Order: sequence, then structure tokens, then C-alpha cells
Amino acid sequence: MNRNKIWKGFALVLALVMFLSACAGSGSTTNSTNSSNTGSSNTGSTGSTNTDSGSNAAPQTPEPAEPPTITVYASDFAKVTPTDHDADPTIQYMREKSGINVQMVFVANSNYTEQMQLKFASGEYPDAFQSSGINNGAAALAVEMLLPLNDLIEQYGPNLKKNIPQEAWDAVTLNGQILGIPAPSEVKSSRILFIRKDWLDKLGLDYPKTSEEYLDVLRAFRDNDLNGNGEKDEIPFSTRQGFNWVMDAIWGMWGLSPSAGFEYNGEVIPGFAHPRFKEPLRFVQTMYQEGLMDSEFLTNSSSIWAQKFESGRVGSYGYMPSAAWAFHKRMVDATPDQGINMMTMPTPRGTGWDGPVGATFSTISQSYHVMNTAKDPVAVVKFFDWLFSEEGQIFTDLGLEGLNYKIENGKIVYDEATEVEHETQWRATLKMHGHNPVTLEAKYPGEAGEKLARGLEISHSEGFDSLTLNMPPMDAELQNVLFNSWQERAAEIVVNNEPVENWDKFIEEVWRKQGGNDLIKAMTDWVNSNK
Amino acid sequence: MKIKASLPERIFDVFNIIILCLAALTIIIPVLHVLAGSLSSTNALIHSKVGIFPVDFNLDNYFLVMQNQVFWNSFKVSFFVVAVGTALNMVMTLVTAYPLSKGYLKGRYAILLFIVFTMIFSAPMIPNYILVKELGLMNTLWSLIVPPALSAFNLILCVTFFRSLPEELFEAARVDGMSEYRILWKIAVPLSMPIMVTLILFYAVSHWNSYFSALIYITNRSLYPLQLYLYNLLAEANALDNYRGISMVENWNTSPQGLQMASIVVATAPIVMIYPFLQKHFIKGALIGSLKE
Repeated sequence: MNRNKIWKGFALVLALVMFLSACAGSGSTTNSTNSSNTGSSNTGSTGSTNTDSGSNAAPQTPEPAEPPTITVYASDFAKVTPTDHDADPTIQYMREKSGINVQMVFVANSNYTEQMQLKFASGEYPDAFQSSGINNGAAALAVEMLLPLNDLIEQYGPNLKKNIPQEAWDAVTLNGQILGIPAPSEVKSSRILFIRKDWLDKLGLDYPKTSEEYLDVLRAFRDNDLNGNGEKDEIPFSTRQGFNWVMDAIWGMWGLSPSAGFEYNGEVIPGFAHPRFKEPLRFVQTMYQEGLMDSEFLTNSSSIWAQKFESGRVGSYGYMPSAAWAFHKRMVDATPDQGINMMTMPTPRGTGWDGPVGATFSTISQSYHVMNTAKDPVAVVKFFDWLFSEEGQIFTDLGLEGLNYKIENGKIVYDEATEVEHETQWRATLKMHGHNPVTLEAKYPGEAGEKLARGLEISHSEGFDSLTLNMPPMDAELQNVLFNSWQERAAEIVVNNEPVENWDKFIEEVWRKQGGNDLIKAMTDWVNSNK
Repeated sequence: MKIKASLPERIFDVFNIIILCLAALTIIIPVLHVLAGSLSSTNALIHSKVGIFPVDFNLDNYFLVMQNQVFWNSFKVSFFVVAVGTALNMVMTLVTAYPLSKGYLKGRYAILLFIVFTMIFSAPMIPNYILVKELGLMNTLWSLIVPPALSAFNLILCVTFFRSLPEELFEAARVDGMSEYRILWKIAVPLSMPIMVTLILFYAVSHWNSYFSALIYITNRSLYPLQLYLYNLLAEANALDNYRGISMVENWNTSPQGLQMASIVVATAPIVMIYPFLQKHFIKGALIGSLKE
């Protein structure tokens, strides 16, 4: 009897607690979705937000028909995103001008792909989402769910057709079906060398044109106490751990890139397996043995690497051409008293090599994809077509007139500080167009523009093709063979000063047997059936 | 009456102390470095001049953090989650543990077995995600509070502790006409202060430190808890790596290191400051729970 009572009471309290928390939960749900508009597309909340924004907009722009609504998932690129989308002037402008009620959902940049995988797996499908091509990132996880856009682009995408070059379309095309909207790359050759122009000037030297001259310049950087602190702490060349991609331009002096595909003896082989790879390897060995290379180059993390050049001790390093201004600025901001002048330079020509130098071409910088569950794919295509229009390009690059820029005497005056102030940096996530000289000049006037223009110009004048550019990722084992299998041996040869001729022996006798042959076969087969 | 230690014993002690001190140093030095970095100038940090003592001592970083609206907003969110979450945790744990500690409850082993089962075989991420989504908790703070409302491990600690209380006390209370809820509240809880404090600390710290559920359930920036804010801040610093493959003309400027360090200090301090006050109970509680069964 007594026990029975206890149980009833217990059940009652439990029910009460659950009821209360459920109430509180649902109350908060409606609140937050109304204020932020980030509710998932297939719950009822989107409906209510529609009417909300409709009634908000009604007094200003009376529209007869409700604009179509699309949900777009994108990375926040680690920038601040607006808290209240319906009150944010930048988002309002974008919706008004494109005529599409875009519901942006920003996903944290650092785990973007993993989080999209989770959403796909749980049946949460946005109308469109961001990726980097169909072979990488989020799109690779849902290729069979991507909507072919050939007809829609033909019909609704005049700006897309006008502004996107064929090689960018190729990066999102599978068996003739266009599975996404690519953002054409602003750069061509994807990596570039940076050098301290102020140090070159102090020494009365010019930009090195050959690998030998480059070594001489680095030797001069080593010996002349160019930062003037009386210590021999200059690092002529620095790079990041694991023969990181930032040193691609070094291999590029001999027209190679380690993980790109090259034809040799009727096979397609990765760059590091090419016999010519010995030349840049010898170059790196010389740099290391003569103290021209950062002695910690095998362990530098990206932040330590950045710290080294920001403190004004590094003479030369490699990175992307598009950072031509940003990296100079970072260095000057961090070390203002040295008169730092960081410049990009054309890739020196390797001794004995007369082919193209530089790095592999990059074709796209990102892409968006429409899912076949989208209710209104036409609206998605129209929205991205707007982003490629002149108005849309100015919007993604420069923001809103009056908010981020103003027009004085017919010239655009852009204020970078407003981006942080009004929390509008997230627009970068929707930047789809390639090189636009008008916005570039407005965004980076004076020295900044000159440095950038030089970097982009060099990038467009060099570089080479990788035969396996759009090849989908292979299984994990072959990926590992492609990216990691060669590094340990290469590091041994460089650090222990072994004859580089050992490299051929390693490739032929060891590497090929340990998965190399499988990799070469996979690459060759893919190229034969796709090119 | 001390027994004099033999020579080998003393040598062993010396080595023991040295090794333990080294182990402690590996933990303390990074903390000191972050603390020193947060009090130094950005310039000194970039030029790697900061060890464990501040260089160019200043409080600028802290002023900047204090002025940052986003930071305080996240701070409030975290505070709310810790307060409400821990309160709900405690209620759930107590009302579940008390009956399960009673020998006369039929089927309590079956119930306990089910609970222990969830400790060993827990649902992976995707079913959890679907559950939270279907419950309509996405993008609400309840998604951080309701799923971890009851921790199986903490529940077992609590059940074990309750079992150690003499049943005669409860019998006496019942004879005097107390209801079971009053018994729980007036007798069981006050007698179990060590385990209460321990559980509060366990729950509060796990709420304070949790960022992963917020990372996957919350996309609305105004609902980011503090740890996710920090996570993004540090991820931004490593954005150099994340931009692999994306080559846009964007400035790669990141928040200065000193600012990040100050944010870490401010975000960690509150939970660290709780420990000294609770430590006495904490050690006792954790020990009692672990030894009895």
C-alpha cells in the first residue's frame, strides 16, 4: 500500500519534470528559430519565419508573390556570422536583389565536412551546400544525391555561362553531368615563392632567375646579418612539416609537384616517383646541408612557421599567390621596425630543365551543389546566377554601398574596417566569381593592389597541368601511398646527406613494391579512361 | 615514532620525487606560458620572447576580451547551461538513485543493468543527432542540457553512496510519519554532502567543458557556449591549414595570439576557482563512491 503510493508519487514527479522541460524546450525552440532563421528546412518553423520576414518586408517593398525560399549550408570560414538574419542589412540586401529568400546556415569551418556528413547521414538535406569540387569535401559524400544542372544552367544561368571557364566546369562534371556550380580560381599556378625584396635591395641583388642564383641569394641571406641584430639568426628559407604543400614551388623549379600525375614511359606516375625528382631533392639537400633551410623544417607547425617569418627572420618561403598582400601586411604589422618588403617572385628555373615551372594549375576555389531533394532548384540556380552578375560580384567582394563602401567622384572607396564592425566578413563564403579587376582595385588600393596584381600576374604566367587533377580520391591505402609513403626516405636523404641517386633505387626497388605499382596502375587507368 | 628509511628506500624516494616533479612541470609550464603570454605584448609573443614570465607587462589583452560582446554572450550561455543543466542533473540523479538504493525495490538489478548497459554500449553520434533533431531541440540550449540529463556513471556513484546510509535511520523517519520525498530531502541528501558536492562538480565541469554537442547541434552564433567560442578562436588561428585548397584573395589575418591566450585564461578561471572550495568534499566523495559496492 505504502510502496504503491511511493511509486505513484515518483512517477508523477518524473512526468512533471519531463513535462516542464519539454515545455521550456519547445518555447525556446520557437524563440530562437524566429530570431535566427537557422531552423532546419523540413520542420514547420520555416513556414513561420517566412511569414515573419514577409510582414517585415511588406512596408518597404510590396511584393505580389512570395519569393521562393532556399536553404544554403556553408562554412563560416571561421568568421563572425550575423545573429539575427532577418534584421541583418547585408542578408536583407542579398535576398531583395536576388529575389530569392535565402536561408543561410553557417557551419563551423573547422569540422565542416564531418558535420555535413552527419547531417546527410541523419537525412537533413539542404537545398544547396558548399564544397570544394565533387571529389573532395562534402560533395564527395553525397555524389549520388547531387542534381545534374545542365538544363537549368542553360535556361536560368546566363551569368554562370558567361563567367565560368570550361576547366572550372570540368572540376564539377561527372560523365557529362554538371553536378555543381564552381567558383573559378582567381589564380592559375597555385603556389608561388615569396622573397624579402628589402634584403635583396640591401645586397644589390636582383630576383634570382635560376636555381643556382636562388642558392646564391639564400647564401647571401645567411651570411650578411640582414636583420641587423648582430646575431646569425636569419633563416634563408623556411617551410612546414612533412614536405608541406607550401614548398611546392621548390619542386616546381623542375616542373614537378609530388602528388600530381605525370606521364613517364607510358605510365602515369606521381611527381615524386619521376626520375627528375632527384634534382629538386638535391636542391633541398644542398639547402639543408649549407644551413640555408630552416633546420626545423621537418617539424614546423603552421603557427610556428608563421611566427618565424612574422618576426622578420625568414628570407624566403612559399605559399599561395593570393596571399601576396596579406602575408606582407602580417609581417609588417608584427615587425614594423625592419622595413620589411615581402614580394612574390617568378619561380626560378631549375638547372637543366627547360619545361614549364611553377606549380599545378588550380581550377576552382570552391563550389556549391544542389541536392536532388531540393524543392525549387530553379531558385537555387537563379540565386547563384545573381552572385555571378556584376551586382552580385560587387556584393560579395565589397559589400553594401553605405555600409562597407561609398562612391566618391565615381570611384569606389572601400573601408575594410567596416567588415569587422558590421560582422559582414562571412560574405567570403559566397564569393563565387574569379578575377574581377574592378573590385580588386577598390578592395586593395595602392601598394596592396600592386603586390596582389604582381602575384596574380606571375601565377597566370607559369604553372603546369596535373594529369590526375580531377581524379576522385582513391581508397585510404593508396591515398597514403600517394601523400605519405615517400616522405620518410626523402627526409633521410636530405638530412643524412646521402647521394640522391639512392632515390631511384628506393622508388624502383622499395616503393614500387610497397603499393607504388598499385598506385601507378590506378592513376594510369583513370587517365586512360577519362582523358 | 618514525621508522628510519633504508638507503635504497631513500634513493627510490628521491627518484620518485624528481619524476613526479617533472611530470607536474610538464603540466604547469604550458599553463604558466599561456598566463604569461596573455599578459605580454603581441610583439614579444611573435618574437618568441615570452617564456613563463610576461614580457612588456600589460593588461591590454584582458581589456579587449572584456569589451568583446560575443565573448560575454557566450559566457552567459555557458553559465546558463551549467546552472540549469547541473540542477536538472542533480534532480534526475537523486530521484533515480534513491529508489535504486533500496533493497526492497523489486527489479532494481534489472533497472541498474539497463543503465549500466548504456555505459558500455552507447548510441553513436548519428542516432543521437536524429533523436535531438526529431525532438525539435536543434539550435536550442536544451540540446546541450536534456541529452546528458543523467550520467550513468554518476548515478552508480550516488546509488552506492546511498546504500551505505544505515537503513534504520529511514525506518525511524517513516515511523515518525515522514513521506519518502521528505526523507530523501531531509535525511538522505544532508547525510550525503560529499557525494552531492562531487556530483555537482562532475556535472558542472562536464557542462562547462563540453563543446562537441554544441558544435553539431547549434549553428546559431548567439547560442554558442564559451568552449565553442574558444574552439573557433583557436581554429581561426589555425586557419592557415584549413584554407588548404581554397585559394581566395582573403586576408589571412587572425586574432593576435595574446588575445587568444587572455580569452583562454578568462574562460578557464571560473571553473578552476570552484575547485579549492569543493576539494575537501570532492576527494572524500570520489573515494567513497569508488570503494564501496
